[in-house]
Formats: sequence, C-alpha cells, structure tokens
Amino acid sequence: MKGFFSIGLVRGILGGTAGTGTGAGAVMLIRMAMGLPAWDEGQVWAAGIVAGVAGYLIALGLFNYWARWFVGARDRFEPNMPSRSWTRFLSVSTDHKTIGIQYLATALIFLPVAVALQLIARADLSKIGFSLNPETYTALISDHGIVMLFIVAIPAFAGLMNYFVPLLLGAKDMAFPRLNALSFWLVPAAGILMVTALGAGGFDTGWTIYPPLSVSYQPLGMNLVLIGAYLAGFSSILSAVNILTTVIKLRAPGMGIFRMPIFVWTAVSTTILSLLFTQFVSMALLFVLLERTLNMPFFGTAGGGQPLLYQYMFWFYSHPATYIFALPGLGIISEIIPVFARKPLFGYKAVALSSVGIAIGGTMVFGHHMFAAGIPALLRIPFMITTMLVAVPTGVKVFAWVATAWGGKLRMGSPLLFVLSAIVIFLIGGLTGVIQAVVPVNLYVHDTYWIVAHFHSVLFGGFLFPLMAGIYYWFPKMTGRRMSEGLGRAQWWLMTLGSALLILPMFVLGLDGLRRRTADYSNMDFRPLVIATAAGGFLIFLGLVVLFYNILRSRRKGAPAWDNPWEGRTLEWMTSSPPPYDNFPATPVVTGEPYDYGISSRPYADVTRSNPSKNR
Amino acid sequence: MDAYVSRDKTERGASRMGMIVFLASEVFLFGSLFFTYFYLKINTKPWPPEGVALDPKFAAINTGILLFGSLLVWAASRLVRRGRMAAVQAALFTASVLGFVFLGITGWEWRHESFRAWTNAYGSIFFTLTGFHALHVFGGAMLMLALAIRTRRGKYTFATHTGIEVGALYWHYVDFIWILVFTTLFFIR
Amino acid sequence: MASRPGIYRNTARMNKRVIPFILLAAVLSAGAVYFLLHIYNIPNAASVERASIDRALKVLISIAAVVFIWVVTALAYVVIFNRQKRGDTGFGAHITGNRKLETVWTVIPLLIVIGVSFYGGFVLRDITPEPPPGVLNVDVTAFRWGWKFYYPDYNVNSLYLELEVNRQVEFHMATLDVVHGFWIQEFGPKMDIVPGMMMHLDVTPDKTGQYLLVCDQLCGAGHTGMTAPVYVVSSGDFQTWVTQHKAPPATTPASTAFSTAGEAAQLGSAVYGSYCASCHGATGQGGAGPRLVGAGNTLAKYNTAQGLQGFISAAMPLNAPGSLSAAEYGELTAFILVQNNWIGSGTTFDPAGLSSVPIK
Repeated sequence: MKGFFSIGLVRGILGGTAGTGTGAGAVMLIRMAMGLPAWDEGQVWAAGIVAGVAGYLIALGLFNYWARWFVGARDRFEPNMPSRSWTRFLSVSTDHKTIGIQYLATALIFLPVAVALQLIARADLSKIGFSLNPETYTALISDHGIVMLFIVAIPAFAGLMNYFVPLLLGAKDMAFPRLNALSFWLVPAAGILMVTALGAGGFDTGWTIYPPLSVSYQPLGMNLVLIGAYLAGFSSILSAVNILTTVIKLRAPGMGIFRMPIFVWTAVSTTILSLLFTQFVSMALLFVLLERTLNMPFFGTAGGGQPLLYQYMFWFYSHPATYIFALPGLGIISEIIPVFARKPLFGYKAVALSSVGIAIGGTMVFGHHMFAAGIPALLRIPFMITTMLVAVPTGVKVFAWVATAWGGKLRMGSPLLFVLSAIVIFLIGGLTGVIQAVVPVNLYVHDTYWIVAHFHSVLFGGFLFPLMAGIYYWFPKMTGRRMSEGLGRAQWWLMTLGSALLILPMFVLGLDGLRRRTADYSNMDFRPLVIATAAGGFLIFLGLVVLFYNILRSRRKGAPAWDNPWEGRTLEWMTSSPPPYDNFPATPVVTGEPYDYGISSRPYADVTRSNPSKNR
Repeated sequence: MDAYVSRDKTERGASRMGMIVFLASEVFLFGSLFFTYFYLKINTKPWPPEGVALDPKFAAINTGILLFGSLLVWAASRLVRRGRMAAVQAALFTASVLGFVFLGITGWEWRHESFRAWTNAYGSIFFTLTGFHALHVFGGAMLMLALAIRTRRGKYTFATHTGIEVGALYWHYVDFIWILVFTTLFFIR
Repeated sequence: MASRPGIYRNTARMNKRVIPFILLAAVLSAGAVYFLLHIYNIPNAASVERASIDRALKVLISIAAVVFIWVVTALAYVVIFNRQKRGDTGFGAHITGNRKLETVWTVIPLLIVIGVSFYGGFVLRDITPEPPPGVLNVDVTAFRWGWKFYYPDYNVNSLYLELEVNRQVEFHMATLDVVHGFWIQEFGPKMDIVPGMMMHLDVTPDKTGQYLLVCDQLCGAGHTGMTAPVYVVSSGDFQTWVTQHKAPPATTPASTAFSTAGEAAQLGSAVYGSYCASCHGATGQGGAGPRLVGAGNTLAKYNTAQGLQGFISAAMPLNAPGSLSAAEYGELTAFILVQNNWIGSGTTFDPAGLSSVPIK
C-alpha cells in the first residue's frame, strides 16, 4: 500500500479531489457571506477545478523544492539515480529524458482518443444508419479539435524537444529541470479536463470558442475546456522558457549557432512563438471564462464589449500556433533526410534561417482568418501579402530537402518513408494555403471543407507524419531497441493512403459548397466523398493501432540498436541507447559540422576528451 | 520518493537568462491586456463610460511606494556585492513590506470604485489589468520575502547571489509595468 | 572538388535518366492545367462575383498544381534512382549547397507570390463593387436559428430572399445574438455577421433559379438548419412580388393620433413594458438582449430612425417577429428615440419622415 501511494499520480489524484472540494466549498461560503444563494454552477465548479489542479500539483510534490527554497532550508539529499521501473513515468521526475517520454506518452494516449471522437462524428455524417443529435456532433468535433491541438500536437513535440534538444546540444539536462516537471504535469490535468468536458454537457463552439456563442449558450463543459486550454497554454509558456534558455546557455563547447542541428533551430523558432503569443490566447480564454462566471462583459455588446476583440486575440496566437505545431516537424524532416540520404543537408544556413523566417512571418498574418469577419477592408490586402510571403521560406525548406536527397544514396527505412509522405502532404497544405490567402478566393472557401482539408494537410505533413518519422527515428535512442521495419511499413501504407483518402475529397467537398461543422447535409452527391474521408480517418486509426503494437512489441523484443543504428552524425548518436543519466560520458566538444556526410575524417564532435575547464 | 536531483550547477548559469526569457513572455501578457484596453477604448463609445470617475491620488501614492521599493531592491543588489548582508536583508524585507502595502492600498481603492468588474467592459478590463498587476506584485513581494529570509540564513554571499540579482530583475519589471498601467488608466484614459 | 571525379560520373548518369522525368512532369502539368482551366467546373455558379472567384480559383490551383507536380516528380526520381545499393556503405556526393540555386528558388517563389497578390487584389476589386444607384437594398437579420429580410426601398418583410436577376443587391446584415455567417454558395463571397456591427455584402445574381442561403459560422445546435430559400427572378416577376408583399401603408392613421414625439413615446412606453422589457430591461439598460438606452447601446449602426424602425418591425420581438401593429412599432421607435434624446419630445413626430432623424 505504501508503494501504491509512492506513485505520484495516485497522490496527485487524491490531492486534486481534496483541492476541488476545498475550492468549491470556499466559493459557496463566500457566496453565502455575500448573501447570495450558495450554489452557482459556473463559479463553484470553476473555483473547484482551479483549486483541484493546485491540489494535484502540490500533492504530486512539484512545489516541495521551491517551498524549501523559500524558507532557505538546507538542500535535501536527493537520490541520483531514478528507478528503472516503468512506474517512474507516473511520478515526478526532473530528468529531461523521463519527462520527454511522459510528454510523448500523454500525447500518444490522447491521440487515438481524439481520432475516435472524430470517427464517431464521421460515422454520423456518412449516414450509415447511425445518427447523433447536432449538439453531440458539434461537441465531438469541437473536442476533437481542441484536444488534438492542445493535448496532442503541442505536447508530442514538447516531448521530442524535451528529450532531444539537450541531447543534440550536448547538455546534461534542461536548464530548469523542476520547472520542466511542472510544465509536463499540467498537461495531463488539461487533457483530462478537456475530455471530461464531454460528460459535463460538452460544448458546441468548435475549437475556436468564439463569443458570444461560447459565453451565453454553453453548458458547464465549456468551463472545463477553457480551464484546460489555459493550463495547456501555461505549460507551453513554461516549457518555452526552459527550452529557449537551454539552447542559449547550455550548448556544448564549440557549438556556435550555425553548428546547431536544424531540429534545434526549429525548436527555438517554435518556442519563441509559443513563449510570446500563447499569452494572447490564454488571456482571451480567460476573458471568456470571466464573462461566463462573473458576467464581466469583455465581449457582450450589452455592456460595451466587443465580440471581434476575441477573434483578434485568438488569431494573434492561433495563426502562429500552426507554425508551433509544424516547425518542429519540419526540423525532424531536415534531421532525417541527410542521415538517410547519406549526404550533407543542402544549404544548411538557408534551412536554419528559414525556420526563423517562417516564425517571424507567421506572426504577421493572423488577419487572414478574419477576411470575412469585418476587419477593415484596407487591412485585407496587407494580410494577403504577408501570408503569401511565408510561402517563400517554406519553399526554401522544401526545395532544400529535395536537393539534399538528390544524388544521395537513400536508405528506405521507415523514418524516411514517413518523411517522404510528410513532404508531399505538407506541400499540398502549403500550396493550398497560398491559394486561400487570396482574399476573393478566401471569401468563397472560408468555413468550407476546403479549409478543413487545408489545415489537415498542413498538420499531417507538418505534425503527424514528422512525429511518426521522429518516433521511428529516435525510438532506438530512447529504448535501445529498434522498431519493427515491417510493421513500420504497414503503418506507413495505412497512414499514407488514409491521409490521401481523408484530405483530397475534402478539397472537392469544399469547392462544391459543403460547409464545415454541419451535422447534416441534404445534397446526396456529397455522400460518397464524405464516406471516403471517414474511411481515410479509419485507416489512420488502424495505423495508430499498428504503431502502438509496434512500440509495445519492440520495447521488449526489438533488435538491439546499439549506439548509432542509423549512422547519424549528430550528438545524440554519440552516447549509449538509452543515454545514461548525465547523457554523455564526458562533455562533448563540437569540432565539425552536423551534416557533413561523406567526410568521415571530420566528425561532428568529440565526446571522449575530458574538458574540465568547460565542464558545465 | 521524489526523484529530485540537485542540479544547481546547470541552474545557476542559466537562471538570469531564464528570467529574461520569462519576462519577455510577461511583456506579452500585459501586452495582451493593454491591447484589450485600447481596442475597447477605440471601439466603445463613450470611453470611459459615464459613471467612471477615477481618483489618481491613491494610485500616485502607490507609484511612489513601488518606485521606492525598486530603489531598495537595486540598492540590495549593489550592497550584496560588498558583502553588507545585514543591509541587504533589511532592504529586501522593506521592499517586500512595501509590496504588501501596495496591495492593501489597491484593495482599499477597489472597494471604493464607483463601478464593478461586471458593470461594463471598462470595469472588466480595469479590474483585470490592475488585478493581474496586483498578482505580480504579490508574487514579487513573496519573492522579496524569500530572498530576505534566505539572506538571513546565509544563502547568499558577496560572490554567490544570483538569486538576488534575478529577483531584482523581476521586481523592476513589475514596477515598469505599473508605470504603464498607471499612465494608461489615469492619463491616457 | 575537381579531385573528386566520382561526382561528375554520377552527374552525367543522372542527366540521362532525368530526361523522361522532365517530360513526364511537363506532360502532367500541361494536362493538369488544361483540365483545371477547360474541363473542370466548380458547380452551381450564379453570380458575376462567383464567376470571377471561380476563374481565380482555377488559375491559382493550376499554378499550385504545376509546382506540386514538379516537386513530386523530382522526389519520385530521387526515390527510384538514388537508392543505396545493398552492401554499399558509401555516401552521396558531398554537396553542402549552391548559392546560385538557393537564390533562384528564393526569388522565383517571391516573384510568384507577389504576382499572385496583385492578381488577388484585382479580383478582389472586381468582386467588391461600389453600390450603384438603383441597387436593391436588403436588410438581413440573423438569429439563432433563422433569417429575416426587410426591403427598405419597398417596405417589404420576408422570410426568404427574392432577388432580381442582373440587378446588384446590397445586403445590410445584423445579428441578434451570436456570430453568424451569410453565404449563398451560388453567389460566391461570404460575410460573417458580428454582434454590434453592421456588415455589408454586394453581389449581382446573373442566373434565375432557386438557391439556398446558409449560415457558415457555427452558431449552436441549429446551425445546420439555419437556411433560407433564395429566389432569383426576372425583373417583371420581382415587381409583381413586391406589389403583392408590400406591407399595408403603415402608420397613416397613427400619425394623426399624436402630434409630438413625447406623446408617441408615452404610448410606446406601454408597448415597451409589455413586449420588450423582459429582455432589454425595464429602462432599456439591457439584459438578455442588448442595451437600448444610454451609453453603450449599439443602435447607431442603423444610421437613421427609419433604419431602426425597419429593424424592429422586421425582427422584434424575437419570439414573435412582426407580431405588433405598425402603429405600435412607430410608438416604440419614438420611445427609444426620446429616451436617448435623439429627438426632442416636443418636436413633431412623423412616422413617414423618420429617415431624416439621425441616430448618433
């Protein structure tokens, strides 16, 4: 029993329950003291949940160190080696590798859940003798969107960044390991809130949560989603602080910024975006919550509020957010192609700087989401131009990938297969993005399935497929064993065909005039294409099943990977698999270029030389 | 139980940079609030709405309090280099107390405003903006208190005092934001 | 690099193999462009604007298709011919970049997107015409979950849209609750309707027929069914429809019943109490519905008292729009005008002359 309570998550759940009760009780007491009826669903639950999350974090032990720091207590002896049992993933750990796997596992648990939510809705839309009421339908698709973005996309890449940014930099850990733990443990809480929202009445606003719809007409589920998204945003800001500081401060000696691997470049671009712009969406979500619970009229026109304010604040973040989801993916593609083509990355500097270019450009385009929403007509053209300019650095990346592979000696391993699919799908997303940036076209395709198809191709090409490539590429490093190549290929076929089936018909549906987020349609010509998208989604789900089987099987029975299964040059391959607690036997000293394939006499770094003067 | 590991070697080198990065994010947090304020100001007529009368007297006193606190914290970060730990401790402790005094005055002022957060959009953004700032002052005052306690317990010396420098950075930031809040609410309106 | 002849041997072999791929890409792109520009048709076009949009879409998709085909063909070539042979552990050519090539693939896309932006700007100008004299004005009211229309030029209320073919129509749109979207697929452009704002959209239908107006911004459970029929008819049919549906001459008897706005407002106050106060508050301060009196009300979007009255008559009370008598709507208008001091209570109140009373 003592062992059971030593699991952090168990204590966390108990603490969360206690916190919820305390918070809810406190609000009811305050309300009674003010002479109001004790029960107010919105306020009591909101306070209960916030206090519950605090209780959960405290009970997990995340604040123990800081509490001792506060009173200046003597540093407690902390055991140096974490346990090797799998239960260590259920407790707080400050090791970036453990946290990386915690993030990835969380994302991979919520990924099929979010896909399944959408599959139910797709089954309804396919009209195969199964039907949902419209509230349920919209609740499902809304939850699908918001879980995918906040609990799957951001944490999945946060996981890979957590695990591999310090390794790629030659650092021992992240700059702030305890903060790192805190940012991770917010995510499961957010995820659970967002999924249980479906049980608390759901919400039918879509993932964009536009007021006044989100303010006046939504059940309790909306509050859960708002708090969940706020927590996820908070986690993403903290983790951005951490990653950015790590990259600035903890690079191995000799690693100038133009010797950093591209994945680190994209991690920096991503984290700058989420560091700064998440504040806007968090504030917008908080405003909605405040208007819902305390009647503060930020958006309600009756009190002088402005509904459009939300849309501005939301898109300040949520456009850069697409790059937050996609940039690390583009980094993974840039990592994998040189390794599998046995050839240097073509135009390293251009590829590196294009990430920054995409990030900067991405902050100036938010207006294109509002071409039809009453932004001043004069602003439409500048936003159209800035949107298109983002295509230029994106193009630089794509052309550089093709040029890298050109004339190489390709090894068709599963990571490369996923990368190739990713490039093709991302290209579709990027090109259609340019098309729909043209204002008159946008006014036609806005809010149709064209848009759905566009952002699914961006996210499949920029997030899903690179994530899969990253998992297949780095799994040997994380576990010491290789994943099954045959299952990898099976998954690649399922997911590539599934994506084609899912995305391409949606473009046609959009042009033919099917609105997005509708629970029904009367034009039966749409039905075959709708069924095709549903089938595509189902194939992708099957692909995920194969992935899980592959992970679970390979973790125990996979062929041993040794240190460097892919013969890569970057630092993570210069240590054992999985890496030891302090990552490297000695502080690496970088002496070469990361992608100099073909010149074996110039290795990237030396990890054997001990360098006490620069021992960080 | 908790697999905490002391990694102060990495942490100290990075903590100042970490604070700078964090403050960059914080600038955007208040940026989002100021954006809201000015967006509402431009689009809602009249602004501020009728029945909103603000008295800058207490806010002016508060400005003085925070500025003095900032001065003390600056002094603490200078004095610590000369090893005058008693003076450092006193300065930090006073800064912390000033922070709580600021909060007290703010609370008193809130009670006597002619409007509430739910009265109109002006009230909403007024209380959210000052509320978020007050939250930061609270955080800063607690931080100063912690630094004072830690100084007392001998955690800092003339050679190792990153904590105080980093804390000072935060306190100056909170001050700087207050100047913006004060100017916006009482002068630009 | 000259000391590495292997690279040159490789390059020479590559060139010969590349030719069929260049041909393939050329044929495929020509085919795609031909298909998109001459065969493919986006269904159901029925307006001048929609024709421009369709042309722009086809041109843009053609450009995108060409880029896509060339990049994917290049990838296909690489995947087919640049694989590592079994047992080969060597490396590809050691090429780290090419300044000239990189400049080319930065500058050319830049030129393309600048060109596309200009093109987009011109198309945008084509589809957002200034309203000419004789434009058909339609006031659109969106609410959860339905539409109401009012033709101010003809004093006609309707639950469907009746439009005249080849006559430009300008929609003036407002919403009573949440954000809605106004879209008739056959006409092309769409426009969100944001609370507190008056949105405008101009189109010129050029084909008679029956179409469907839909809401394209998710607005709750009834979103899918928030539609209204749209009929585009000939000029003659439209005139007939207007005469048949014209509301009976509104306030002629009432206008003689009171002489000053104050008197009308007094009557309006009673009407307000029984039909409006439950949502808009006893003194118009707002409640479930928006504020009507005092600072913070958003009635200025109606510009004149006539606009305001047209809206109230068409859309209020929300649960039974149009259910009051014309006289009552006139009195309500007077009440709101007087309460806001937009009209002095001593001035003469003429319901027919409301268009000259501005709302600030």
